[in-house]
Amino acid sequence: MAKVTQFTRPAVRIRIDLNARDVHGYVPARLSRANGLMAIGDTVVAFEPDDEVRAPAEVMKIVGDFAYLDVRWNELEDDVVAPVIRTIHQTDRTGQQTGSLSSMIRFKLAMPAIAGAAALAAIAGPGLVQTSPATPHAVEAKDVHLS
Amino acid sequence: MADVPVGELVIVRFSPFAAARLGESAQDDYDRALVEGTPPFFGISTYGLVRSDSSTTVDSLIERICKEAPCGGKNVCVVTKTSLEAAGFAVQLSEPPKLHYDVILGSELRKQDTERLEELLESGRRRNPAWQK
Repeated sequence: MAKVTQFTRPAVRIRIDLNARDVHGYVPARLSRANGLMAIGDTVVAFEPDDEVRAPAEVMKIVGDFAYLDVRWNELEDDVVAPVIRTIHQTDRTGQQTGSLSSMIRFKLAMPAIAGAAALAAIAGPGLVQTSPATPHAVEAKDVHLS
Repeated sequence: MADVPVGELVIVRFSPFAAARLGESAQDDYDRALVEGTPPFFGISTYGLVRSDSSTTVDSLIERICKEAPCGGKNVCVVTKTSLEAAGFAVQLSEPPKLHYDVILGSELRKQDTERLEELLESGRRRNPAWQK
């Protein structure tokens, strides 16, 4: 079965005057005010920076240096930068860090001991037995003499 | 802005309002007319409706323009034809599209004209009552 890979790219943005129209009701906008190339039939983002609004628009025709856009006025919305969402780890009353970060720190501290013991066991083969560890993550190995 | 008398043509414009952007839009329209082979002039696109009776509010006129033109934006500047003409700007109906008017700057684009128009527009700036996002 052929592997299908889908790519997405942000739509081209073009600055418009919210009042400008041609006789068909399309919004003319200079191609030089777009941040990329466009062709007839493309859906672009028409925006007005002073009012901080945007709307999807279809490129209906291109004549000279102008694109003529069919703006979906009923989809006009805020054009503000989306806030960056960050996970904040808080500490509880005992000073313990809560959240997934503390789990990650514990895992990273234990990992070398676990990996080291596993490697040792793999080298020694079946002649090694493990004793009860003194600490949760400590591992000991002793030789066993087989008769 | 001051109260709008009955029978007055209410002119509204959405963003941009800054003089530099008004000049840019006027130049765009002029250049586009040359490309399309129509007589070029410097003008600013606006929309308008007559306040037909005392029960019609300015807000209801703006909402009707937004719906019928259609057009929109968060902010809108509201002026009257009388105030524009008093400031030296002719107002000309230029349909289609519906309710579209040009505020004429003339055959020459001058910075003082766009600055005067910006000042007049800003005096009637308000939140668009039709903006519900």
